[in-house]
Amino acid sequence: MATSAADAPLTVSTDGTAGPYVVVVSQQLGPVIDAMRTEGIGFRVDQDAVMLDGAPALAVINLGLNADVDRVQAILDRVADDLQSKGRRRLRSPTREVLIVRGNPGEMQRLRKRIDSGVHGGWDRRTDVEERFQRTLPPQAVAYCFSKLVPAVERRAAVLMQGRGSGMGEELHLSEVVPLEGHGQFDLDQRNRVVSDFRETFVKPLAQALGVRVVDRSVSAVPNLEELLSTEAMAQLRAFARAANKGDSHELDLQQWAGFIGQTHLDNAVVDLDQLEAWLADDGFTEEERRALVREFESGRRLLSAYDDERLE
Amino acid sequence: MPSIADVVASLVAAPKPVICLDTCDILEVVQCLDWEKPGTPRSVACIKPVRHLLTTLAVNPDRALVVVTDLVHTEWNQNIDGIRKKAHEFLAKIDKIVGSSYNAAGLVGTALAVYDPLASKPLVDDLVSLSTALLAQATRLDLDPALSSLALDRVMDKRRPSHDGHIKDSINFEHYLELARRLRATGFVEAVAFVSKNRKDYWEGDKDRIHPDLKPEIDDPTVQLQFFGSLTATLPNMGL
Repeated sequence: MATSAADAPLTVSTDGTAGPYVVVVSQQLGPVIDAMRTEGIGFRVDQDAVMLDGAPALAVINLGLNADVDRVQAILDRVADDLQSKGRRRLRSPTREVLIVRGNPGEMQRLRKRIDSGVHGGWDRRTDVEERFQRTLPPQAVAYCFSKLVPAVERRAAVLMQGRGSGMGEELHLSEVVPLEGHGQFDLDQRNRVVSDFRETFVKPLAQALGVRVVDRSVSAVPNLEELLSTEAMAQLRAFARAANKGDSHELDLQQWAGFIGQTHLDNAVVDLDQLEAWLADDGFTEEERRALVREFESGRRLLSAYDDERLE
Repeated sequence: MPSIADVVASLVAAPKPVICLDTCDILEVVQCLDWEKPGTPRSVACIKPVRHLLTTLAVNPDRALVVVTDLVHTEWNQNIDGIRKKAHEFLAKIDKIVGSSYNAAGLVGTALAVYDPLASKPLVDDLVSLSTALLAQATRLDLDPALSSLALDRVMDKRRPSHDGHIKDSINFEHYLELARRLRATGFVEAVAFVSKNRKDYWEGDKDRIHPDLKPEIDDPTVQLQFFGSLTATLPNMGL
């Protein structure tokens, strides 16, 4: 899931032995690169973006072993301020922890040898699960499963990691966290506690003194409206919100709202009404206006669907 | 290939939630690499729940039973090559669109990072692998001629999901109804769900809930088949 450029932190990381680096979301990449170029900072961007749930949401900028970390951080702070001033304020949505380990093939091979060498941090290797997991992945994929009774959630958890990159050896990312026993999934908080335990007791000790990077971040756990709607529908929604007389709605506003409704219908978009209302709230519409607009949206879509059905019959 | 009676027997011996899939739910993970309409790509949100379901079942195969009919299996095989081809064409088109922007950038001196064409990546093959894995995960129900005959009745009577004359949806629907009915007759209390993104035949307009014409059939106390418009909606409701 993408995080927004306005929300994502911009920090120089110094863990590992491969030199300081910066992890950026795709919208931050251009502004950060431009700012560093302007300041004469040397860097190299990893060719492959780091994947999050299949979305290339993050990129790693390597600064080199001799980088002036304080100077780069000052540049990043300026870029972050600038992006926040331009970015749209977002409602605080629930987040989940992601975990990615990256390195060159040699270093990742050393890491994998350490993984193969036995139990670490109380996490047992589950080769039985790995075999089943492997069957659900592309043939060349690397798959790992570890399990532990995690004290923070008082439940046995299975953490699945899979590889990506050339030969699937240059990146391992946390694919899923699943309860090993019983019914129901972990809630977000429990999931994050398991990831935190895995990172601190398994991944970080294993990665120590290796030239690999442990990238951990919180990302939005729910897709936002911008990700769910087409660019045309979002453009209509934004145009409506910009032009609307908030607190004193006008007939013209409703015409623009109808345009948005029509566009979502043309797109066949399934719109979560709570999410739509939250977007409107975030944009300054009163509760009364929001309710009226959502009602209008529902009835508009119902009418358009009925019209389509009539035409088909 | 097990009959409905075989599947019922195994579920009664080891109860677990049941997820019945439509062909489109399995093909969708490849089919999402296409245009919703000119200029608008389809959503790829369908991939995540499939990945999640398969991983959950890899960790604990007793969490749920995924079921398809033999017809779903046949339809998947009939369609996958065409869908794979369309996905490749989609990526080639994206490469062409990006290439055009790069040509423009070259003409005015705008600096752009090197573009690695999507068509050279194994993305489509990997999605086909995922779709294949979901199909392989499913228990394949043998077709029952009596249920196919009931499906034909729906076509003759122009009843959903065959109101527009197609029989395949009714064959699947009759088998899933019967599976749920026979399970409930044994006192089976786990959830039995039917998932289909087929809006035209199953949905109530744009709402991902069952069409009112079909609701009484799935809500019948002797059936209790839950309907979902996507795996995204299904999994949390099944505790997965």
